Amino acid sequence: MDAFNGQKLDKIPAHVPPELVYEYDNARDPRLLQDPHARMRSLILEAPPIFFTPYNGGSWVVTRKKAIVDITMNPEVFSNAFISGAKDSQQSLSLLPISVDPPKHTAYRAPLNQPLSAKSVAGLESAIRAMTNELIDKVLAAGRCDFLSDIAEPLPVTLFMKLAGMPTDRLAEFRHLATQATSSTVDHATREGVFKRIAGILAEVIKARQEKREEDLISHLLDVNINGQNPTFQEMLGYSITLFLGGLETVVNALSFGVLRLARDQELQAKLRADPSLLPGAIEELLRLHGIASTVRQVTRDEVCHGVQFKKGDTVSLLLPAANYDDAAFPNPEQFILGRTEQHQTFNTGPHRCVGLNLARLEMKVFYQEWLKRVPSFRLDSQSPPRFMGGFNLAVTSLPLVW
Amino acid sequence: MAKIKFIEADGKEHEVEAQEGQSVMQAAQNNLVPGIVAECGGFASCATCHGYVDEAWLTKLPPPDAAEEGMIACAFHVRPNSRLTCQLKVTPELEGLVVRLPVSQTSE
Repeated sequence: MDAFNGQKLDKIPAHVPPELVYEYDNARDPRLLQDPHARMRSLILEAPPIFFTPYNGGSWVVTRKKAIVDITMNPEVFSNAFISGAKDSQQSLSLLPISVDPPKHTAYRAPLNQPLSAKSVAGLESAIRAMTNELIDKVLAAGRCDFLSDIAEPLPVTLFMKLAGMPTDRLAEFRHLATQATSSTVDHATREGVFKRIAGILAEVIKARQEKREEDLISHLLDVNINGQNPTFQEMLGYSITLFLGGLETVVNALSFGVLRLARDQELQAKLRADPSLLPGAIEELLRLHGIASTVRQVTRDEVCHGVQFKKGDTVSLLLPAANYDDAAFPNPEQFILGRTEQHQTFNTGPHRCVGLNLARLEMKVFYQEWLKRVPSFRLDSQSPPRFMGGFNLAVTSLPLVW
Repeated sequence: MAKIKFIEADGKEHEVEAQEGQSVMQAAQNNLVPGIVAECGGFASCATCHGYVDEAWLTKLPPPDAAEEGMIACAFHVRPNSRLTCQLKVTPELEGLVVRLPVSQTSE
């Protein structure tokens, strides 16, 4: 099996019981493209808790929170280690820290924890606020915008590229590469080409920082101590690509889906506008209702988990956005309810819980504070419905708003 | 088995029976002690299971390793007796441990 293969299997593997087969194409499913998160909910209601899809090269799909947490916490059997961006004749490139398992993961992750801690990112608040207001200035008078291209892309991407020391004048190019890298419809060769281009761009940045340090994350990483030594160039590439993809893709979609929800729910929009102190709790609930990323594991030995026989070599997709609609974990999961205490899966769980979550939350809080203060009641443009994309990330590709 | 007492910032006390082998953070969470967020689930990656250990206990506990020390620096309201409760393994010797919780795990 190859999780990155867009092909549909002709034949279901012998060890998969027929009753666990359910056809779901994570890139082209029509209901997914109509409303991605309604489709996540329908998978909970219609499909077996762990099912096998012949699409995407053949994969198990896990949708319940308990099973996802159990699998995530069992990296010995359900390993991340096979995830790689590109393999060539010289060496393979590992995305750090997400494509290694504990205990190596812990060593690679530690250098990111401090610069991305809540305390550290708090210093960025004024920059985020200024950037948000600059973007609002550009669209406010027009009474409309495409939220994705006018706000959601430039805000987190510009900020993250500055934080990481990447050149901000290449934003559109980078966004295109990031989108292609997380698509599951591009073929294998194209994806390899995309990752090589990303690696090439980042290699330039790393080499520049090797010559001269700046106040950025890449400079910081060059000097960290991992098991007694500084990162190698290959390790720096692995870190940089992960940061590139995480920073450029995930927050863009979290903001877009959140604003989409508010555009559709005028009552909630008015409530938050009237009482901004509700925003932190509202942001968590928006994040729960609109998970973005899923993760993939490879099975390292035959194992029965939650009643299902997994075989060595099987691919397992952990559908984090669907877990947020699991009734056993979140009563009335379709409802927006302030004050829920259960931890949502949008930032993953355990050792791989999203290293950038503090930055994401801060960006969202500051953005909503300014947007709801300055932009009057906004709604979807009835002439141009929003558009979506599937894959390993659920994505908005267009979001026209009017006010 | 060890009795551990958690004291919230407002003074409210919670005494729990902790299981040997689990972490002090897990003991708190399993007994629904409020005030410990434990965002990363116990991998010294988030500094939100931060607690204060009375000075008398500090010398009896294994000292923090580099990863824990690094993350304590990222916690809010740090004091000389700060620890990450996810890194404290419950043993019978922890009977009577008192952990005080900070006023907030996620903000100044």
